[in-house]
Amino acid sequence: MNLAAEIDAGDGLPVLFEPDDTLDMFKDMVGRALGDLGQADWSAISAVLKELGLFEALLPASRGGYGGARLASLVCDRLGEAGLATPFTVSWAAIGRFLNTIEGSGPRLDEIAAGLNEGSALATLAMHETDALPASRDFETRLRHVGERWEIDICKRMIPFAAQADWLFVPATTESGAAALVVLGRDAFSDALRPYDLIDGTPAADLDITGLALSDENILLFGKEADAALREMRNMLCAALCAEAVGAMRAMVTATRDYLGMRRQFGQVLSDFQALRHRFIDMEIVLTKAETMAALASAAVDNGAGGADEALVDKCRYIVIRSAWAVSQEAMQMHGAIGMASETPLGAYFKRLLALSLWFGDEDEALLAQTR
Amino acid sequence: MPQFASDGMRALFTAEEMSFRQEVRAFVAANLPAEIASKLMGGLHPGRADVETWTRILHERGWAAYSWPEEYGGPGFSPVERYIFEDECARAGAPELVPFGLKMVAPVIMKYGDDRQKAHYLPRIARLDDFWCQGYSEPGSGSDLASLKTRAVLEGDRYIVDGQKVWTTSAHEADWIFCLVRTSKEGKRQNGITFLLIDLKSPGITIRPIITLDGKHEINEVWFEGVEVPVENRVGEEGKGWTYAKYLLEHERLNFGGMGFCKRELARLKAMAAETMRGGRPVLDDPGFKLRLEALEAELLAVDMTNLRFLREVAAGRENALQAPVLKIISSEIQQTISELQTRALGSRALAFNPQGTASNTPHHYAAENYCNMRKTTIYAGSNEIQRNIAAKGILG
Repeated sequence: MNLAAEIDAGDGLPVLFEPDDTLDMFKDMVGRALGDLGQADWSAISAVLKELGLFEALLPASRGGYGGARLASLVCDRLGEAGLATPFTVSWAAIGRFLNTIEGSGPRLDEIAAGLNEGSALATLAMHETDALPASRDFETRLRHVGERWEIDICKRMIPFAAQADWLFVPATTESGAAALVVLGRDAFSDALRPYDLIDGTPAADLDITGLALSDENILLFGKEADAALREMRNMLCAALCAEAVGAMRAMVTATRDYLGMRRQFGQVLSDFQALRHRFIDMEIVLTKAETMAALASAAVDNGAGGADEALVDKCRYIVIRSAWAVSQEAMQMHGAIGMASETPLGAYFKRLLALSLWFGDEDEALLAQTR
Repeated sequence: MPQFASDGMRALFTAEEMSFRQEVRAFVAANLPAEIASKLMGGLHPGRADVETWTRILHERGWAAYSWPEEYGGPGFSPVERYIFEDECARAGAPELVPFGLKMVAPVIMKYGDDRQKAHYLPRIARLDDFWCQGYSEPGSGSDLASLKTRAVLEGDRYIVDGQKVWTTSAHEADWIFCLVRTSKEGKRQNGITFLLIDLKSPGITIRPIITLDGKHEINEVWFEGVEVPVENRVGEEGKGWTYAKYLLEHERLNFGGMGFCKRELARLKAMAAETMRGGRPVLDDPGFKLRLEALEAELLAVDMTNLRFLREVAAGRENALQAPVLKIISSEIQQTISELQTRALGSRALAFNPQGTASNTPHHYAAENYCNMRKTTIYAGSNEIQRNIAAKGILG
């Protein structure tokens, strides 16, 4: 595995899994702040993150930040644990971090990056088309030359936080069959959105536009560069979703621990029943492996300058998704009927884990991805 | 030595059972309203009106109380005929008839009720003049049901009932509720429980909705504050309610199957997989999905055939401690597995939230919503943990 080899080689790199005081401090701060906030909308959450200096911290080390998918994933983990589905994942953990790695690629990208780094703008990525899996090539969305200018026919589905986004990143295919990455400002797409909510409460929208005229500055990257950019954002998003899932799983495990310690049946607390003690520890085991693999996924992204080890990211995703199904089902069963009532938080975590598990396809897909 | 047929062949059903299946199939095809079938085939849950319509149609044919013996107006089907009847109805998209009336309170009234109760309630249950629900679980008493606290005090010719039931399925659509209530705190706690029939229109009853994670209003809290229940609404003797509830469980021991529903949902699963594209080809052709589908079909066959086997065994007087709990466990788990694979088949296309058709983003298969909803099957009707306790007690002592 490349990652292990690189870390073994040393080079003064921090060692994975070695406790890091700065990250631990961020983790506590973010967790506490989100805990105090409760269920809040994104403007309140982003104000808190801003106050903590998190957007500066997400900058690359070369620009005075702490950088790294590791930090972004830490925030995602805490958001997941707090039961919050936010645009942080797509906008900062995926797009923002990507833009910071290709700093100086043109005025439009720099403008978008600056807005994200200040925490003032919000960007999203249109990943899904007709297919259940996010498209990675041969997009139905077509970019073509009409005379002197560009036009695009967009057909995208389930764009997260589209109605809230200032910028929309749109992968497309050109007439010659090459990939292209297009960016639109909100004026160009917001009226055409068909919004709805996902099962975990994430606002999403479908978007179909025919013959939208573009200027050169809408078109960011072509061909191999566009492919690489999309792969990079996708890998970052994978790592971030793994972190969110781990946070949500931890919340379910904690809730189950509390419930088993409190609920009495047949004259004793549930945590006195051996069968339930074993099942609970099995949940902890599953969670532990998922935490490890989510950390590994972030490291794979951080270590993969010019392209993360995708086989490794898929392995991580496989373990995390598998764990998500197991933990969410088992937590629900151990709670009994109370877990199914929407007034208790358990169901929201259950649905959040369902959405996170299906975004890139289920765990079968994570395995098959490497065989295709 | 038993005599085997020379070719060694065995049939799943007798010729009479096969012709009965044809008769049911033809009747359902000719009489099940298309709008109800298409609703259920699309993954929506039936409402009270749908169940009423279908019950009345079956009632005309003499099949509404299909699980009842002839002396109470039922058709006197054998257990296997009941299995066939449910299988044909469910696969065609018919709604399940109200189990709380037909399969739960009615058998208790038949066995322990007085003549007035039999004459009054049973025909009304059969026609669905009265829609029943079940008042068992309480906030502190679910799996440990015998700890229930809802109190009934006899004052003259009526009980005064105070307390709370919870997770009460369909209470908001129902007319009557049968309740286990505590009439004594003396002695063994099971001995202080009484079985009451309560009119939900009685003053002092408040029904509050509980919305489940799938966004559906299916279950409720039912509060009783000084509710007067005429003593004639008590079934059997005071303090014997636990015995009657256990009889009900015995009676229902092989009623949980739901195999027709499973087959209908399996057909829906295949349709979803055929129309959903994953990685540029139909999910139905995806190697990962194909393995899961094959495994699911093998599991469903195992559950279905085990169900049928138990029915044959019980009909031959060979009951054992495993049959009822095992059937509940494996049937509930396979229902969940099917809904999980439906959700996996649709993948990201399952994620748009549309609680029971309230949003407009159609077409929608309700797979993820039903996956959430189906978590109930391993929790309700005696959680699968309780079923394992029952089975273990029966075998290990």
